[in-house]
Amino acid sequence: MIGHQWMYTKLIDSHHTGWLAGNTDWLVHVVSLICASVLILLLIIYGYILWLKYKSRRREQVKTTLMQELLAEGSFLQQYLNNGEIGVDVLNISGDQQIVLQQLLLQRLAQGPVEHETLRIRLLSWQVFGSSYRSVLKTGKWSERVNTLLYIEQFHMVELLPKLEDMLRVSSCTPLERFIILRIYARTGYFRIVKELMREQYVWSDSQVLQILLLLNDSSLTRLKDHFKDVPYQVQCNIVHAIRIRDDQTDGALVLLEKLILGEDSLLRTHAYQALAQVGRCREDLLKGLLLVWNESGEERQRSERLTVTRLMGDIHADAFIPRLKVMMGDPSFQIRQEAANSLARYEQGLDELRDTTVNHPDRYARQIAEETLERMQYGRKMD
Amino acid sequence: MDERWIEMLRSFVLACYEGIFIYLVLAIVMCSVLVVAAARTLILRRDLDPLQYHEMLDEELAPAVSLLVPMRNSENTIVQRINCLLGIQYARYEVIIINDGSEDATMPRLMETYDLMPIRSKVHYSGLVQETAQIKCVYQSRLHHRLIVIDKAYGGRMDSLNAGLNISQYPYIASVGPLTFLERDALVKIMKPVMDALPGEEVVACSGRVDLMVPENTAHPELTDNSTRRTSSALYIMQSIEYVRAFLIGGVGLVRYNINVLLFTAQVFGVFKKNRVMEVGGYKGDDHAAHMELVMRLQKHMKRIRERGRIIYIPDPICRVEVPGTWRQLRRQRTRWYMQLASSLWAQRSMIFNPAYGWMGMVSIPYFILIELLGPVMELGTLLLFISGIGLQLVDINLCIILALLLMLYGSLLSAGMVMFEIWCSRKTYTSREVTRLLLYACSETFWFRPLNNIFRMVGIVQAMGLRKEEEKEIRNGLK
Repeated sequence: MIGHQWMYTKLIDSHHTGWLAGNTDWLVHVVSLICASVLILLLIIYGYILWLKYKSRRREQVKTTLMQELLAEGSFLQQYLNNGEIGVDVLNISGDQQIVLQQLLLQRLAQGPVEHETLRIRLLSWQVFGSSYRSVLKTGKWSERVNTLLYIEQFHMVELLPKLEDMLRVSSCTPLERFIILRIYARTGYFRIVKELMREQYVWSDSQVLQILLLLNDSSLTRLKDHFKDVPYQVQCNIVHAIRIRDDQTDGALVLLEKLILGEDSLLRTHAYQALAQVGRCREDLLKGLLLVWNESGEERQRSERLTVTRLMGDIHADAFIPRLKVMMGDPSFQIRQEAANSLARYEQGLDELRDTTVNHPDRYARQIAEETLERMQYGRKMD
Repeated sequence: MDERWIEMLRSFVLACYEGIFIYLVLAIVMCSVLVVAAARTLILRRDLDPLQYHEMLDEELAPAVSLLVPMRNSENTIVQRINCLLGIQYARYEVIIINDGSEDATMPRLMETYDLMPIRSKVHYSGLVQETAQIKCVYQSRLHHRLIVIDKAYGGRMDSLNAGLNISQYPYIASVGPLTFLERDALVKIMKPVMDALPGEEVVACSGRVDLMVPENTAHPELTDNSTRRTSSALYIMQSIEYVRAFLIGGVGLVRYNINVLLFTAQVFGVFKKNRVMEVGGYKGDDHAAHMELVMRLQKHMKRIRERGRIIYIPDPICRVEVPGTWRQLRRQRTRWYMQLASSLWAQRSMIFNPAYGWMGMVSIPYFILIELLGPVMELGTLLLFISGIGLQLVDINLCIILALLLMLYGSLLSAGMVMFEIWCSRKTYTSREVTRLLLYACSETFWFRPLNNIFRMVGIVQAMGLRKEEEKEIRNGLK
């Protein structure tokens, strides 16, 4: 009853007409106008798209014909790639012809041609596209500039390096453009790359830095290793990765890694252990020595470092590591416990040590992981 | 009827009109803003050369990924699907097929085709706390070192994903839906943002644009969309329009504003950072919760541990998905989706309008509630009001016209605009006939497809509510 009264008072007594009711005439006009405008706009876009379709279809036909001409036996492109003679008419091509030629040359490069053909492609690309690339870099829109940089990289256009240097200094140059420019520097062995990598101003992902470092020639990498303290921290970490991936077994690399392992920085230490495990295969004694140093003070180290070292202790056997591995089997991290058990299992006396752990280890999780590993080993033997 | 009551009814209808008017205006403005934002991103990127992905083929640089593919009773399609997955162009990945208790010849077929050998002794479990159905054996192929097969008892899709997660060896996992066909360069594209993450940023989940597979091509998934003629089936066309709309608004649009969007598409194909998924306890065993709930939990977790976890949506097409070919299948699919949506939002209701969860709590989830969850209710409500307004003559006819026009603007015209933009911007080639067809169908959307679709969605929401009541009942009875 009370509800009815409330509704009555609220809705009828107050003569609720709503704020929309008095405004319907002009609202109808406004909404109809909006709908009509959108509809007209859509029709215009529709017409424009159809016109674009027509245009692009014709353009595609022209391109296909051009491509067939260029691929034909005896065409100027085939002749040039075979004999190395550039005709004057090749240098004067423009528009769609240039696009088709660029596409063909990129395809050819992707197929991995022989060296003399690669050199010819680079020379031709510079002579045909050089000036247009230069103007696009100056005035083109962002996506065009990025694409042009990618093409310059593919064609190794060292002649454009000074132009790229200017571009790098312009504040409007975006991080992606800067990254591609430095990648071109690295790929072409340009001397300024080391200086650029020592700058703090770049914000890149680790993989971008690593990409550049992996492209560097040996002398540039050596210079970076020599100035290791002066490069930004992100680059330092990636130099260590690069040493590992490039399997850099030079004395300079080994000394640097040793220094880092004995240093204070945990992340660099972890990376250095990983790198040394790869590049110091022939220097097992060195790695063993460094691991023994770690063995003395490893408990407070970070998880990633503990994990790396646990894995390495399984790769490089030393009786002194066994007690440490047993301690690691009681680590709070499941992954480290598992890795420690696996490493221990790889020792000659591993089976006995694991059995001993299942009974005598004070930590419940360590006993559990030892049991699991034993079970797995047993199962493995049955399967084999 | 008493005149007072008629008056009261009229006032009530008028109030509803006002409410729906405000809702539609808000929804139109919100969607338009997101479409403009998406358009800016797409226009900027549309001409970029695929050469940009080249570095992703470098083994040392590309982050390794485990593809998790649950399968059940798929003896006819399994080999074809696995071959597609093994042909993916990427430096480091493994394919983990999880045979979820198939009762047909799926497992013998796999054993025979890929020369599987048991490797249980070498398997390292990742230590997922959640229990999974019993794993009978784990195999590796002698022919393809990347192929791992888990043979397990039936436990459902999420349970299979958990089993795969536990066995995967790589730092990223990717769940592949049952009707998904990955593009050859799917991993290259989807892992690029992961590789490009700046120091201090962490990509915890990533998904991308999903294209529809032409029904006639399902037997030949290797065919690209451009290599065949597109179908003229109305249902297929309407679904492709719907996907374009979802892609522009829910995907690119929200991401443009750095809003961590909830991934609808993750169900089809999504990449997740494995350690973070492990930290939140893996997938929830309940199939209704789906990936969306996982994404919300991940976001919650990252906020709790004060880490900057990003969720990324890439605008390039990464996969194609088989879509319902009949109304019946469509009804089933939409009902399931909306049940999942409602269940997921309910499960993480503490995040709604909670400033502690940043954009996700304040924008993404409210957006999903307002546009996705309430959308069907509001749109059907508008239709009912329109019909009742005209039939019963309770309100001014102008009001009915306004609502009808707004509904058309929100449904048909917005969709048509998005489709036109997609045609202009996309690298796909459309014939003039297809362009015309898409425009006409998009314009007709409000009159038939949307109302029907909204009914299916409503059924899903109602079912989710029923499920919730059942759960409450079980809790009260002490069964849970």
